Amino acid sequence: MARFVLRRLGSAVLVLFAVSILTFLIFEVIPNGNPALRLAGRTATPANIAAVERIYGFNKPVYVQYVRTMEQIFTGKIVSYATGVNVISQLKQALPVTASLVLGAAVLWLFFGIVLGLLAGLHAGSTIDTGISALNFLGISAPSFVIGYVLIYVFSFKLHVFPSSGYVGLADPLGWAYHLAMPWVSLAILYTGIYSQVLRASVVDTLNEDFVRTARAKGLSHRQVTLHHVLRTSLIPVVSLSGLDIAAVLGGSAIIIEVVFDLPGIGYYASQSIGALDVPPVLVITLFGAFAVVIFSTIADVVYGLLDPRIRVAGSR
Amino acid sequence: MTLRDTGTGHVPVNESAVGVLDVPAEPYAAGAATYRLALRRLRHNHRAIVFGSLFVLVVVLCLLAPVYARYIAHTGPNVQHITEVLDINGKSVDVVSLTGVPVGPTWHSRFFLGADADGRDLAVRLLYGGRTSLAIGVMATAITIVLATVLGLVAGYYGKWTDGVISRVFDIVWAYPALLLAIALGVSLATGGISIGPVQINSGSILIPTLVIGIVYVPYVARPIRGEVLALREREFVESARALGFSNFRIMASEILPNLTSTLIVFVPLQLAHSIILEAALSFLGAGVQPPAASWGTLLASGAPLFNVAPYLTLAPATMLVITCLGINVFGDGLREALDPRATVRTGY
Amino acid sequence: MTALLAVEHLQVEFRTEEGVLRAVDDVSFELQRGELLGIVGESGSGKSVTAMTIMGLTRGPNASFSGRAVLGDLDLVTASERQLERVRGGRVAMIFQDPMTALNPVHRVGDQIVEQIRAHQSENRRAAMDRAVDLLDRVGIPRAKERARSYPHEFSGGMRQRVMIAMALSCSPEILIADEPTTALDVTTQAQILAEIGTLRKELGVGVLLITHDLGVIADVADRVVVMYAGQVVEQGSLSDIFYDPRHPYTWGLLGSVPRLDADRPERLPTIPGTPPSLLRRPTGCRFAPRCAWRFEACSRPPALKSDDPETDEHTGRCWLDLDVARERRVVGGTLGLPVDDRTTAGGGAANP
Repeated sequence: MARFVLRRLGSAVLVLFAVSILTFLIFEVIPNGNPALRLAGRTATPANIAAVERIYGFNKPVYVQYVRTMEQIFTGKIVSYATGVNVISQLKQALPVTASLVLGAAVLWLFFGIVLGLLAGLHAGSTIDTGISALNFLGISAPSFVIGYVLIYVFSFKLHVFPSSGYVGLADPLGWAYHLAMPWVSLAILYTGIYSQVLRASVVDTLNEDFVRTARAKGLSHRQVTLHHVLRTSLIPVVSLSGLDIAAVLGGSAIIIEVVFDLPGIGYYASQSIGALDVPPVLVITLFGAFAVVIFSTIADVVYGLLDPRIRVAGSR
Repeated sequence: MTLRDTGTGHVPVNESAVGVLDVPAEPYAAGAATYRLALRRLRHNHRAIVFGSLFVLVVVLCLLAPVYARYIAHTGPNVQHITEVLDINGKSVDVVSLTGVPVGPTWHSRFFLGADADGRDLAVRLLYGGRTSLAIGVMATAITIVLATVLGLVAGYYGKWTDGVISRVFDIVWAYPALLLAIALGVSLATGGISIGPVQINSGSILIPTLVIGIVYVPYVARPIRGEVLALREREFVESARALGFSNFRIMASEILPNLTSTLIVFVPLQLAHSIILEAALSFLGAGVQPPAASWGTLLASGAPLFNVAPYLTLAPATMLVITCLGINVFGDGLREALDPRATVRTGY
Repeated sequence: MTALLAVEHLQVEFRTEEGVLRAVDDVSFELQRGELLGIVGESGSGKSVTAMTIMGLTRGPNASFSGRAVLGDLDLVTASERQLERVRGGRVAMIFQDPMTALNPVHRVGDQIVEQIRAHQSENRRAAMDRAVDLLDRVGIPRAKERARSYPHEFSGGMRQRVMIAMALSCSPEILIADEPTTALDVTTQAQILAEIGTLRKELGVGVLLITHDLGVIADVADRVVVMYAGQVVEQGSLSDIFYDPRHPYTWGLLGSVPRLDADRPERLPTIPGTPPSLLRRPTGCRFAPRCAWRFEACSRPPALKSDDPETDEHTGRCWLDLDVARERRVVGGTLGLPVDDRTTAGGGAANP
């Protein structure tokens, strides 16, 4: 197990390295992307621009700039070209917002996805199944920001029950949940649909397994068969999926919900930085996102191994 | 030899109602018969047909946008009527009020759904925007499917270092948060356009979001394809084709590729819906279709600031988006069920 | 003596996409205490569905039943789900064909046995685990205490089937249903497992229902045999009746296709030509007629299951052939068998829409 985790971390470092280069290049190839033009201000003379280029090192070869930037990232000294603010401290401020949003939504979508998926799978072909699959289709067909706006329209403008924007820290737990309720739901609906579908398919497959027949032949109660044999085995694909999804949302996919609800999270920060072609924050955020993906998918793989002993053997070999 | 005889991975087995019967399955000939059977199953799936038709209806309406604009609304998608005054049921109403609030749905031929902040006919823009969204969706899907098939085939078939390189690239794209990657690419390309040798794409072109969306999704499709190719590579009919001295290209194109068809068919509607939604998301964030061109995403983006005074500006494109994706997704699910008979097994438990 | 289990006119139908499928059609037999009854037939003969129905495992929205399967004073066909839960694994235990897939891959084998014990008896975990280890030891699993902590994939096929047997025995059942218990195993292991089942029957007095497609499997162990074809019983009798005085051409065919050590090796092992009829579109007359070399006019009407000996109805068959004619015709080339018939169309079922 330890070797497996080490190997995963090893390849993670490689992936992060590649991601950083790719991000750097994406912004490097932009024509008109020269940050010195913006840093020097609107009325800059060519001499000003050259000075800025010298100070920031934009006149150096790309790889020198890259190494310099990475060095700044890992010493925590990197600052935004657009605002001059330290990127790492900005990220630290934004992280709790995004984490609150994503983890809260993940709890919702995992709970409802599992409950609905299990119900639909156990009653495949019935009215319950049809009803749940209708909900799922609605969930996966409605983009989260559309759901966000509909929620704002109904609950903020018409009914005045929930605030349409803003974030309150965890110091005030009620205010925190109150402000995040609608963002959580908007984000969770899509994933609830996906998870419920995945689990349903997995449950239907598992129900056809011989060992479920054995479990019933042993005289176990319906409840025991369902929870201990069917659900336990069917959850395996959901686990590996949730690792990736939580990481992806954490690493930037929450961006739209943050924009819709004015939540000062990582996605919001990213969208502003991208709009301003501000490379340092974008670089840091994508690295953070990729890092989250790698960490969470490693965790998911470990949990996967715990859930499925067959994988454990294959992994340790 | 033809591969259709040796079988696809999807020979429909006549599964029983309960899964305990060992009734001998009628040995269906795979290949053409598989698709005939799938078509039959699909035809009997009323839900899929209804929702598929819904999608077709949306497509037809959007294709007829110029007709609607010219003969019904008598205006174009980018024509501004800010200063005009409408006569609605005897009352005169500004298209855009002095405080900047556009007129709401009039349910008349002109400004049927109302106007936007610039006094443009929303219904006309909605249909034109649909053309853009659908076009981007279709083209991006084509790009994804073609690239993913080629890369998945090559990686799975050649294995070794070829597979290593391609798979690592997928890993990187995979680890990159998809939306962030799309936004970064979208913004950076949208500001400068693309110029690679003779290929020149202007910065405002819809080809840029199309390319971005098409490429971002490649690993999601290519990975499962690669997995299937890995399994197919070991099958007897590939071995025998190799023994007969067929070239690698011929084996890939005429032996393996046809066996991937049903998987690819299932991916098409899935990707279409994903691409349309990603286009809307990108355009909403300003990293997709650039104004004044309309797409459902840009309509959503321009409606958002006026959401509290004119919610229909947001709700109209949102509704179109949801209806379209719902149509595609439900139809696609029917397609998947039709091609994968395992999915239709109804267990009695 | 009253039978341990009496199946009376059992009929099972499933609604499918293509129509109503009658998997079991008017099947009756009895199982006595300590007896080993073999049920033989090809795939689709309804033997597994019969067994699963006795366990109440075929119930579902698409299934309908008639007839009875009486265990003591309980009719298993109409019993409540709660009553069935007590019967399953308690009074009637079942082992399945494929030990690779019949055990849950994500739970330790010891836990899987404990789970069954605790479903039926109020025993604490520790005591149940001790029992499980004893049982594993009893069915011949070495280092049982250690092995109870292993997962199914860490066992060989034969060992897994032993685990299944241990599990089946855990609550001292009255009846053991073994559905093709040796099909997935190699020949040596097959013999060991069969011997194990035979021993248990003698030592514990369990009634065993052994389901198989292979007459060879039951030749040494069965007391009586039921031969099924296309959902019906076509012949029923003692082991010697079936092996030395078979009434039904289908049984002849089955016997002819068993490899024998006491006869000259044929150039090719004979098989019964054609395939069983579709259970959706059954032949109107004798269901075996389309594949039978000896069919004649009478076969277009359904034959009854009857005894030819007025003294006893222990040995019954479902065929129009007179006993004397049958005794003559069943000998092919010196041994029992069914000759290949040119008239037999490939896919007998399809020939009779």
